[in-house]
Amino acid sequence: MTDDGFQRALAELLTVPGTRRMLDDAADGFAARFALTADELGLLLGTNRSRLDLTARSIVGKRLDFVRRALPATMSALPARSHQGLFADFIGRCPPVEPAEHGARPIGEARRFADYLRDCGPAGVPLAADLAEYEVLRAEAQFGQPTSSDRLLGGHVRLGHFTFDVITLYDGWRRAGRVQAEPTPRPTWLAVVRASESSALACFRLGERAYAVLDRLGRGEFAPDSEVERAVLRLAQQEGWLTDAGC
Amino acid sequence: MIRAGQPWLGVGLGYRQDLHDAIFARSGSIDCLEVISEQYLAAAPAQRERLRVLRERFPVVPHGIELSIGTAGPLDLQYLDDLARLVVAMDAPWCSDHLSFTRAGDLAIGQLTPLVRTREHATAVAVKAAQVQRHVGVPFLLENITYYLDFPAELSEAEFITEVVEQADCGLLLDLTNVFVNSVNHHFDPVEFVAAIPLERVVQLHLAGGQWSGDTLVDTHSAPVPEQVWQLLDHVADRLSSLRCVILERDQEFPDEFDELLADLTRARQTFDLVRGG
Repeated sequence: MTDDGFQRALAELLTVPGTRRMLDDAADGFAARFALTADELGLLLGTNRSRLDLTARSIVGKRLDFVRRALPATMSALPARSHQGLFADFIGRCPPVEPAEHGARPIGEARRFADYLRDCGPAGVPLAADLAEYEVLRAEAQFGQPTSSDRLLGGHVRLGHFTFDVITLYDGWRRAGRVQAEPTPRPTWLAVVRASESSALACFRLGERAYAVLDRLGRGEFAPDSEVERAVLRLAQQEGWLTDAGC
Repeated sequence: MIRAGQPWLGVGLGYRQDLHDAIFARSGSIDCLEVISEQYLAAAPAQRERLRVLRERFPVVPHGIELSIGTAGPLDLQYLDDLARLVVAMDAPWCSDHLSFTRAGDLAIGQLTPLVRTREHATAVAVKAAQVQRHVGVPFLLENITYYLDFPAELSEAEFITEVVEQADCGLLLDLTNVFVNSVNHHFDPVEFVAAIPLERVVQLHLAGGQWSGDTLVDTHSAPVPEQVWQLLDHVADRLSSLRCVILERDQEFPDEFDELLADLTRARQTFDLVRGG
């Protein structure tokens, strides 16, 4: 195939705001950026713009469908009137960069949205950002493989620390279908773990120090130098949280 | 391309989780299912269990959406390894994906996007389709897509499809709704289109219904199969010598009455009962 640049250019036109303006206003620079031939540039300049819009809207629709399906509790924590603006800002800032694992597009999109809420979300959404992170951790633990991780912790174990007590808030949402409004912040450290060969998830509340130990394990930086750290390591071993490398 | 002894799987549905209970409640009216390959490639235990339950009751075929065979450059061998494992685990008679690209550079656009139809591209895709078939070990089918963007090109769509599948010696998953939708949006005759592709390579059919968005007909998989697609089906039905399966696709706006979907299945089944002398 000879059209890598053409495909990249078309993909950006469909997913990255501002790219179309570059094509229209600075076609030569656009062609140089994607190493387009004159014919390829001509094809893109001649593209039916309403069909380009239709295709771009279809892509956005699929991305947001992934987010809504993967993050139902988060959605219920965000005021319905804010969804449209929030989604538009998210789509504008966060292009659909390919996730590392196949079949991981829904989780990848949910991860992107969770990161967006945490890093770029408007003021007043820290609760939703926490819930999004928690829902993503649950999905990642569900699909993570215990043995196929380059970390010491298995892919079925995910760690998170939160401003709010997300376990209580999430359980409340599952019971009542809505998230408690304006809860009191309560710092929470936890591990979400999928049981071996099961789809059941368990959430373990952790102390800040145990969390720090496991977090270092997760990043592959761990060499226990205290009795407490060795005890955390033994617990992780006993519970089957470690990969072979971790054991 | 397709083994002579491969059985007729019948007329079935694209499996969607939203339809799970209804599918099992009316399983006697559904011959087979098609699942989205990527949902089971690196399956969590819940997905593996779901697949086991489906396979216990129905013949199931995998259908991919993210191979992105048209992306410039080599195929992803890890994806092929995962797909080969899934095919073995499912004992799948064939696997399929789309004649399109969904990834470019580091962007996963998730949209079946058309290729520029040159002979060079047809050959490049054919080489990769043959590679998929060898790697996975079962016949590989390529599906014609719906496209809204189109680029003036050396080959017509029918010529491009023919070049690819003939060179690759692979099968076709013919989506008749896509043919109809494209014929409306790009102003060609769908009957001439199907006459110009190698119908003897069609192993599976897709049927679905779409909706209008402004002046464009969109393949939304959200409505009953339109009359024009049934007419197209009647037109080709007795010329599909390799056909083994027909799948009705419905992805959204699921009807309150599941009978609406079953009615489309029944109509398709009647068509092929007539052709097959059943």
